[in-house]
Amino acid sequence: MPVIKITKWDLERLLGKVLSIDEILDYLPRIKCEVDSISEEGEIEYEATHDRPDLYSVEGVARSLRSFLGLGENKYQLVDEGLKAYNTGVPGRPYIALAVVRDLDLDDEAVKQMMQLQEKLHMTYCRRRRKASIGVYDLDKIKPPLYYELADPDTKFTPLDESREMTLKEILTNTVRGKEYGHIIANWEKYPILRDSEGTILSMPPIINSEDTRVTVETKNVIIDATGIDPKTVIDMVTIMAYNIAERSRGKKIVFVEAIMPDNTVLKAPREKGVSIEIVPSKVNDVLGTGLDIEQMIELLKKFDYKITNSQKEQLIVTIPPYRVDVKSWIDVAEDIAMAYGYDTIGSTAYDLPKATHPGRIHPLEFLSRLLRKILVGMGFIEVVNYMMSNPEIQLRIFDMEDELITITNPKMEKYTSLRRWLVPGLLEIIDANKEKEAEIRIFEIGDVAIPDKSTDTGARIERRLGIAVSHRKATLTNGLAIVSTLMERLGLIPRYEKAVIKGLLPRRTAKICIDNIEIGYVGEIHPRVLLRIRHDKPVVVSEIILNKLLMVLRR
Amino acid sequence: MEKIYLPTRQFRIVKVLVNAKSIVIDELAKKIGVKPEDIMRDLAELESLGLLRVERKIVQEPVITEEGILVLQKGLPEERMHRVIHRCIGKKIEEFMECISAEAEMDPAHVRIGLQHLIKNNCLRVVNGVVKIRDDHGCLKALEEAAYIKAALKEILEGKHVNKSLLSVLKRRKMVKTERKKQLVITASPKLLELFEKGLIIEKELATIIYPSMAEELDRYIIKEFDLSIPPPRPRAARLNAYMEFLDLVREILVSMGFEEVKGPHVELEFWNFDALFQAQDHPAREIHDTFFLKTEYRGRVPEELLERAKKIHEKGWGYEWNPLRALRPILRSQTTAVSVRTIYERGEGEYRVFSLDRVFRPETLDAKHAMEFYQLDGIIVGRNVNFKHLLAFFKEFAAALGIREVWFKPGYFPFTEPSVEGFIKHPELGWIEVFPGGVFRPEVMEILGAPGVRAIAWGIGIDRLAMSVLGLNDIRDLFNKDLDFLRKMPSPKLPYFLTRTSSKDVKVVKILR
Repeated sequence: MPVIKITKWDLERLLGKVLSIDEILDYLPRIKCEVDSISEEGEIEYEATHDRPDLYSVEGVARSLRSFLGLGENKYQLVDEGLKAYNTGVPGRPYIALAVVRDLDLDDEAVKQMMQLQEKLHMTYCRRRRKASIGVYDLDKIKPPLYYELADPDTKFTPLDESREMTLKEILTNTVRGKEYGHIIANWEKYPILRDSEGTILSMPPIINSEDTRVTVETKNVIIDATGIDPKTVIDMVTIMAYNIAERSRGKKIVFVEAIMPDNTVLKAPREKGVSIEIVPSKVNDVLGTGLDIEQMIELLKKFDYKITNSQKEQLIVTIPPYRVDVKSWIDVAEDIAMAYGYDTIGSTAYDLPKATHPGRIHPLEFLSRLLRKILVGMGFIEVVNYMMSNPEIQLRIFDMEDELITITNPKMEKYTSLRRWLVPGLLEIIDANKEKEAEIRIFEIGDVAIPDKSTDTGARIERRLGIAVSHRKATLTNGLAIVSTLMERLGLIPRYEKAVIKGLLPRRTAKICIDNIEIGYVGEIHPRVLLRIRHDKPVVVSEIILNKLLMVLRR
Repeated sequence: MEKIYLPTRQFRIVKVLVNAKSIVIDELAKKIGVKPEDIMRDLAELESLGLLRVERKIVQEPVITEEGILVLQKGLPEERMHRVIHRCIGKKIEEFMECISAEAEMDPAHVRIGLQHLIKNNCLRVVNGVVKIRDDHGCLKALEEAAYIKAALKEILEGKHVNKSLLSVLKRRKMVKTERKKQLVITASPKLLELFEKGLIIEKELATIIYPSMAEELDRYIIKEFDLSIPPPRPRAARLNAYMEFLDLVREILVSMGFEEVKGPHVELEFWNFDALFQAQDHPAREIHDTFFLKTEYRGRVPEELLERAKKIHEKGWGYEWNPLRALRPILRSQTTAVSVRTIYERGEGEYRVFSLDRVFRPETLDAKHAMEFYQLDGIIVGRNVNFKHLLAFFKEFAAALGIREVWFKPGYFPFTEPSVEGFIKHPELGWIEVFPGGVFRPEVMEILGAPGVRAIAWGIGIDRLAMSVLGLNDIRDLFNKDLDFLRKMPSPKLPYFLTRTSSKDVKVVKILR
């Protein structure tokens, strides 16, 4: 979740109201801003959520609080000045949308917030600029109309924070931004640029803006662009930018820009209003568990800036604020109603679960696991647990095995690159960790293993297994057989043992465990060669039983 | 006659008494190396057994006089005289006595006594008024006798007994006088002497381990008492894993609320982990930073109807081209919510509630606070009239079961729930922590799963932080600790739910998180 930094005085200036610390701690979370910290100097840090990019700068917070606290209506002046831009065709990132905001009153903090909003949108909605990228420019330094086009790699302009002109190619290889985002357009023959009617280059999307058109505290009018691979996203981004920046405009004046596509279709931005949605109050009450009447609901909707265009007893038509990109259907509006009403209000009278219609029960594998666990503890064993994540060395190589493991492509640690396919390696690790301190080790683990298996719908078979290990100077197969037989007898089963050969175990000292011709596991001595490899000097007897199979046997 | 078993100290008292027959308490105490007051109780017990008598007697005690002290300091008059005798011998008796008085610094009375003793012992003789040596042998005898007397005096000084004849000499020579003194006198009874002689008085044995066979003769033993302030040694016990026990307690709470446990695969398809949950294919949670992808070309299987619905709903909702092949890629599940959605697909539009408590995987580097593998408790309640308020009630009930008294509900965001909530609990040690992310599954999710006619409230709780606090751990790796001694020493988990009556009614919903 993006962390946003704002200042208390700036918020208060935009809101026209002084807020106490308690009020900030109370109100911000109610509009989905989780306050992380408030410094003594009044710097506020909060975590915003992915669904509310309009809250990625202070202007959005001020606007939301204005309606939430009933301090006034949010009105914007949308003007058509006939501004146009020409999208001459950039196949790799075909869409551009633009908007203008006029009559701005900026200071350092305002410019900082604008940059923060742009950056946080880049990191989230724009998917690190892959999906879209945004630019803001001083409108008075350029001559519209603007052109979005492809340019030769040796085209030159002065990128932001540089003191000299650089070619587009140079910008990709020699600037910080070029190195970070260059991969998005690296293999293009020509690179996208945004220029004005006189050839002044505003930016090289999605990499960097030009120094010459930079927004400063002196800037009075800005033009915003978003370019990218999806028309809805570029309009969303320009809309959020324009409405948030307009909070700094004296008349909240936003000007439309029409971007003319190569096929002469028009992408007009920003969005003037959101779509209208039908709300059925009874459905809202049903999903929330509330009993709100229609008047209450209308009041709550206003707190989240919805315009009610039609209200009847069984139906409300609401218009979504233009800067809200998350509202897809009535259920999203229902959440806003719940938030406006207060989760604490709903929660404080929430006492009852819906009536249960069926008895509860644990999973049969868990029941069986518990049963075996208790028997084994009674026999003097300690229960251990290991991670399912392991590696081929521990799982296979020390046993000279060559089986396949479920292996991940993006491991974070060398030790954890695969899922275990049996429990014995983990048990040996535990024996190894304790061999200096304990002369006699008796341990068991009940856990899941993953075995590649194309016959399943996911390509892996998950088995719940019981693994047992005994190690002391006189441990032999007999110890293992005694334990397994006792376990099976407790379950009312008679095990039959058959000689078996299993990699990693000592031949002649290894047996399959069968119940009525179903093989449920094995018992055997670890091959001395394996023990020598891990420098363990006492024999180790192990057994593994597949509980899924044991359960099958027990169910018959 | 019966044997009598005595504790070690009483046995030692008896032994002294058998030898001395009768003894004053001071002397008895001195012999066994304790103070008189320490053996009063033992004496009383022995007396009650008829083995001795304790009597308050007036005894004559010899006390050393000033004369005696002078003797101890300077010697007897005859000794002192003898040391200087060679300077005065051969003089007339009057001159002799003056000479001795001057040479040995003795007063005339003592000189006279000394002279008497030396003459009596045939050391000196007076011939014609002149003092002469009579017999050297007699002198030696006189000195020997003096030495005896001095030794006796010393013994009296030390509180020891001296024989009667010596004592009467001392008294006669006024070195000692007798005084009357009250003393406890301990006297052996005839019974004691008889029993002791026959070996029927036996010292009690110190017993550490008490066998049933000793039951009838416990008085033969001193039962060793243990110091209760010393920490006892711990057994190398077998035991259940405390973490697994904790998870079982959580299962029991859920089952008591009517939940049925379900399971699903750890190796999961992206479809169940993400797509069925209406998470767009380019959602950041689906990038390599948040999910483990598998090294395989294998593509899984999902029923065709599900793929069709997912495609339609994703493309309508998110406005992109949904790729079914991406959905069929296997991954390590990053949330057990995958199990919940599989269940809804299997069970459809009924009334049911299920939970899963199993492991999930996230790309993290294992350290004290992070793990790449951890347990998640996922649950859903499905039904026609299930609502958001029920979800908050569940959180409160579960919080109450953990002994939590305050919760805070914050609006949150998850791609698959609406409304969404993040529930915080005020933990007694950890303070406010977020433990309950949940919400109502979006209509889009229910539509993909083929159950649009019912609602599902869902949550996914990371249970490890709670486990750590219940088990008193600070390092998340200790949940999987390999040290057997560490495992033995972990406390057995207990939850307030099992110890007292807990209720959501006792849980307060706070308005502000401070």
